[in-house]
Amino acid sequence: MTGDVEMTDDSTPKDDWVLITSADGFSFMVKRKVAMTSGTLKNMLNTESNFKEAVSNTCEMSETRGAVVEKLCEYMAYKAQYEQVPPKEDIPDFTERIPPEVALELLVAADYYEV
Amino acid sequence: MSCDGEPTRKIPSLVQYCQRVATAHADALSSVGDEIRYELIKPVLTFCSPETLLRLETASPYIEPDTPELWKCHCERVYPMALGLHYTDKEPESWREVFFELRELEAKRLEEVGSRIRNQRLQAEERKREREIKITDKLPPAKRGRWSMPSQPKTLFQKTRSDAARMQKSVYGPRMIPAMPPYKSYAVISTSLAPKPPLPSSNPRVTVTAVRRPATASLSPLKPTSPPKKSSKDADQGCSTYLPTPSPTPKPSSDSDLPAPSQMSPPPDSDFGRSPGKKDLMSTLFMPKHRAHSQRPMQSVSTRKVPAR
Repeated sequence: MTGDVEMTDDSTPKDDWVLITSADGFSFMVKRKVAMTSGTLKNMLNTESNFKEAVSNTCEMSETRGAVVEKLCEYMAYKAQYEQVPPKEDIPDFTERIPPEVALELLVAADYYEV
Repeated sequence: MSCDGEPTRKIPSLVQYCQRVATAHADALSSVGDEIRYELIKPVLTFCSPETLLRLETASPYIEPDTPELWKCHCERVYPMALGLHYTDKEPESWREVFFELRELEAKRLEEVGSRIRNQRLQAEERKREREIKITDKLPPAKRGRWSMPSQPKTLFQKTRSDAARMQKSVYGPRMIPAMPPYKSYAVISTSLAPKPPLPSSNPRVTVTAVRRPATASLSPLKPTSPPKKSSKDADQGCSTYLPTPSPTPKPSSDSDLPAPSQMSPPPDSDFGRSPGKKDLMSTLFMPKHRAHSQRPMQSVSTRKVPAR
């Protein structure tokens, strides 16, 4: 079973895009690698599992607002990018990118998605 | 791209970032939502003010079971002494209640202290106002009604004279004056015969004149009024001699207050009466002479009666 499923697109699994949708209809496309920053999403999108999400490369965040999902994706991209940077270099602080109004919701979501 | 190696640096999790931001704006919170894990918001609530905590509890009552520890922290932080005073070791049922009770107590105490300070300040101001200068029409009561003051204020010269008299008495005590040589004899010359030198300044109180010494032995009969002792006293007292005639314009109170300008007893001049080395201070001052030795005509009778040694 593990080998039978074939990807429809030619690109390597690590290179493809993942779709994330929010409760109020927003959609965001992120690289799989970026989405894998989230522990929950990593499990969801694991190609070895039979989850609907994994098959369709889509995650539907039905309880989260678009603004919150956007910040989630932003963080995941930030982390994926700067994780490789050696410690000596300065990187921007993500604190500034969180508006206080969404902080609590984002906290809840971040906790849920193990980000 | 595909290098997915080990992360070289540790980036804080989004949870941590969110907690940081929420804590920074802790008092702007109005609710924590329908459900949120207590562990998630605990660091945020720790930094809330008591008012915010109360508000959040009202909005989201489900957090209340978890908040006593927070209230306890507030109590200990804000009212540590009052806590030790009013609540002993027993664990109170609701730390929230304890907190608000302590707050009321504190407010009452402050009010008391404030009013006490205010009263003290008002009293101090009252006292100060009493001591202020007030404008009034009435005269204050005269302080010394007993002594009669001189009708005219003392002139500068009068003051100088009185000061000089005081100084004379203190400086030129009996010891400082050298003893009169006993063999010298002096006689009182009739004042009207003595030539009067030109006066530098004619002042009714003190006048300067030269008294001519008796040259011959015929004048040697001693005047009993000039005992050696007394003359020794006077020897240094002011070499300046007096005009024999009393001043024509006596000041009204002068005679009563100050010693009348008396004439020098027989030792006439500074050159004769004392050792040459002695400084002649008295000549520089218009020293009033001792009344007892005055040779003024009107007093001459009385001076003779002074016991002579």
